[in-house]
Amino acid sequence: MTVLPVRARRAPAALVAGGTLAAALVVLAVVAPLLPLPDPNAGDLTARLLPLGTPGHPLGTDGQGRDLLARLVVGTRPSLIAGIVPVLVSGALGTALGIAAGMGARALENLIMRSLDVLFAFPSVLLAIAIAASLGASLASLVVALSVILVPAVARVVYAETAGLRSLDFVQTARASGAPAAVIALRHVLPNVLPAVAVYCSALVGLSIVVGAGLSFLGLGVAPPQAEWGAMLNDLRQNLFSNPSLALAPAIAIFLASAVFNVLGEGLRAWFDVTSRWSQ
Amino acid sequence: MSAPEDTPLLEIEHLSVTFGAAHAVRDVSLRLDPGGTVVVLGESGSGKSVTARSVLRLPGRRASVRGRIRLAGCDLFALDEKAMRQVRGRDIGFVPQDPNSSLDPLRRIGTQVEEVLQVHGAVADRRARRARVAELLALVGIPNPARTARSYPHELSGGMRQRVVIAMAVACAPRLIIADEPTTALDVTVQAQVLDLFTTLQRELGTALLLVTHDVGVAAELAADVVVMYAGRIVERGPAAAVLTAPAHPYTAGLLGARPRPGLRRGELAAIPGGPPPATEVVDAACAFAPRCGRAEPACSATAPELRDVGPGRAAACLLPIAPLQEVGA
Amino acid sequence: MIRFLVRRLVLAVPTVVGVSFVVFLTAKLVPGDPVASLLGPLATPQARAELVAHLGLDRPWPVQFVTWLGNALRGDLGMAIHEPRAVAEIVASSFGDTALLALAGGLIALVGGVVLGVLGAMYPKRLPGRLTSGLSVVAMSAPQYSVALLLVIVFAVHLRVLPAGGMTDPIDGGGLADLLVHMVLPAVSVALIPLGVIARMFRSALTEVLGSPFVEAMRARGIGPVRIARHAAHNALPALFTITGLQLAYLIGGVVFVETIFSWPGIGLTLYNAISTRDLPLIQGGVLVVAVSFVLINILVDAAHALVDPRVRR
Repeated sequence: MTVLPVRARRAPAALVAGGTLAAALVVLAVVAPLLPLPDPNAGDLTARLLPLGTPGHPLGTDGQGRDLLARLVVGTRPSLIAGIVPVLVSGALGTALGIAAGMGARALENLIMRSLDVLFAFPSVLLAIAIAASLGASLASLVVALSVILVPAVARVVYAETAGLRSLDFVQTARASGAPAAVIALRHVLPNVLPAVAVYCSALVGLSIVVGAGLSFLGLGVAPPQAEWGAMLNDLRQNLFSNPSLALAPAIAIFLASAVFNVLGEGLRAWFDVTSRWSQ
Repeated sequence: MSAPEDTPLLEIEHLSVTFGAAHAVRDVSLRLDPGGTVVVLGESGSGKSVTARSVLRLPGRRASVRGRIRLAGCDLFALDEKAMRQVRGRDIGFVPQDPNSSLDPLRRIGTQVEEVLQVHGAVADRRARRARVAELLALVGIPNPARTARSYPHELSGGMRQRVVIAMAVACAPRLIIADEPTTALDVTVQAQVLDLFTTLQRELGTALLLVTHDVGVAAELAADVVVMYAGRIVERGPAAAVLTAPAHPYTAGLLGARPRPGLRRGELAAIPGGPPPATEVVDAACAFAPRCGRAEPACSATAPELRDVGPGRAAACLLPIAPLQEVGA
Repeated sequence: MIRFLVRRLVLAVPTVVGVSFVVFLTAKLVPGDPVASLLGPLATPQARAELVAHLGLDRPWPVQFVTWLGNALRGDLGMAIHEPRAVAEIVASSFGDTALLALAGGLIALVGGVVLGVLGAMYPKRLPGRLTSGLSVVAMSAPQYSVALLLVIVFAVHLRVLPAGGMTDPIDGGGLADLLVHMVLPAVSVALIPLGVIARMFRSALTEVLGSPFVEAMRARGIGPVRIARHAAHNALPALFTITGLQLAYLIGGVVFVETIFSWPGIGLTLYNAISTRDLPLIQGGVLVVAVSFVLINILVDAAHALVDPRVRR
């Protein structure tokens, strides 16, 4: 197996900061139900729309009197699932398609790349809406819709990387020695495209969080009364004129979670130095 | 800018250019007579390009320049920016290194040549200007001027593009052409044609030429005065015929020895050991070439040699110059 | 130029067919038995068979697709479920409103992005330069719905200077002044993030052009700063069109959210309402129309690109 050297240096600050915060978010999502917080789904109609800083409800309550801090914390899990799982799915699928298109016969290459072009022709949010709406409102359909819209982008990156690798000596040598294409793809190409895939996918998590929360905002995510940041934002929007500040918490949560993963992606990019690897 | 007959066309006096801590050009003086030719020879980083661009007052960003440059007696550093713009293109034509990237890729060739004429008010009438563009393109040896004027840069070959760039440089009949490595980006066969073109243009227009190159062959071909630069300093100067056959400075000898020639047997191609020092590390009180010089003695690292006469019209900055008529590359 | 356009239009035909096919496929994603859900549990087998035949569901799916595509080409996108109107009619009536908003947002993003990008390239160390870098960092993570809500909070709730909705008929409504007042916040919400991205990318394109050898060569020919700026702007335009093409998808996606938040009666709001009532024919019709328009807009962007850059004309 040949793996081109990846120039590893001291981890850049962006990677350390992004990685730590991303890990903290994931931990929060996992342990959220165990934390000593009020029941996120228990409404109290006598305590509706309490403002920020109310004792016992630091982030206030929503229109049904549910504690917003509890909902925000519990909502971390579906929001992160919508951010991370589609990226994993589309990362795997996109890598497979990209390598197949890059290594396969001309006909296969055309079939894969032209099909992906069709998906690219959509404004991606609209394609996601069509898919998620057909599958019905649930976290699973959200994940499917987001996976579909991310696949073409990953596949194009992998395809370009594969095309670059194909002309390199060790791949040519393996070809000339009669190794089957599948073996070359698995043993020589896959390990060398993985760093680029990792960098690109980490940056997609931020996008996936934003679009996922957006679809939930439109009513396509988790089913009520479950808490999710985008759905919370849509709930609180109804009371924007009476209690505008309540809507800030989920909006900021979406922004920060997305920013954390974008910083992580930038850090990975700087660490792996992916762009400069082929330039020699 | 009229001047008596005996003033040189171009006079560079004690030019020094620094970029922060990097001392790119150190106390360079140089003169060029009307219609004459000077080739500045040196490795990349020797300061030859910065010297040439300083004449146009375009040495590069964050450069600080000292010294004086006079064109036909007129102090270029005393001009305001607007007057200097008139000098560029009208009195001095410039041919940059890479013709492939020195034309606007989105404009037609004719429009770009015409722009130079228009900016300098060389031909006022639009019709006449168009005709002049075709003339210029024909002058630099472009076979179908009318069609070329209508094409875009990407539709021409590298050699044709360099001819276009040269046409722009001579458009306003300047007294001086500055060419910065004009043949480096071209195929070998085209290189010779472009050099011929320079010689022809000089003969027809009476233009002086200051040409910067790293290629000893170019200097030999133009048979001009040669100025050899190393680490920002002039190390040797004199007529090409003399300097290139019997160099006085060990560096010049090294340049000639490092050049592949026909009839050279294996192992005879002598590379100069090491590389030129970074412009930040050259010290004033030593010969910059001493660490790489086979003839260096302790004194070479203790004093900076001045340019001294080593023959008729020749000077070298070396404490231990190679005696005239000694074997090349020894 | 006309040859270029015709070529691109011909090449777009398979794309449009593919886009239609994907939308057709999403209809097949609906879980469960569509016939059962339409007829209810008490339907007789005979009623079932009749409906299956009527909907064409007994035929192979390529035939179903061709039939569906043929209908769509004739402007027949089926009937909406929760409204007694044809999908095509509903989508057509809201199309103009969406186009208006997208156009206004696109103009703001383009003009603002170019101005900010030019200033950023000219003064990289001063306020415009910092603004372009700062705005684009935010743009990477800030969703348009958050931006829209924030603008509503600031301008409609706190300052009370602009309305947060109440636009019922942008095109034949209360005249131009009324339209502008109602359009400011939605259009800015749609535009703000693409504006930031365009500004940053146009700034770097312009910086690259200004540092390129041909600009240096023009200086050496004595060409003045105004002419050089003109050449540089021209050379940065191809990059601008590429960036704009990339941002269009984002802008159109944002329109859906912004229409929802501001109750702007366009396709986005139609989609939002259709989602809450699970009116799938309406969702598919809306998505199809927007996606096909998107393909056509991209052709126009490409044509503009070809117009300024002789290297891509072919």
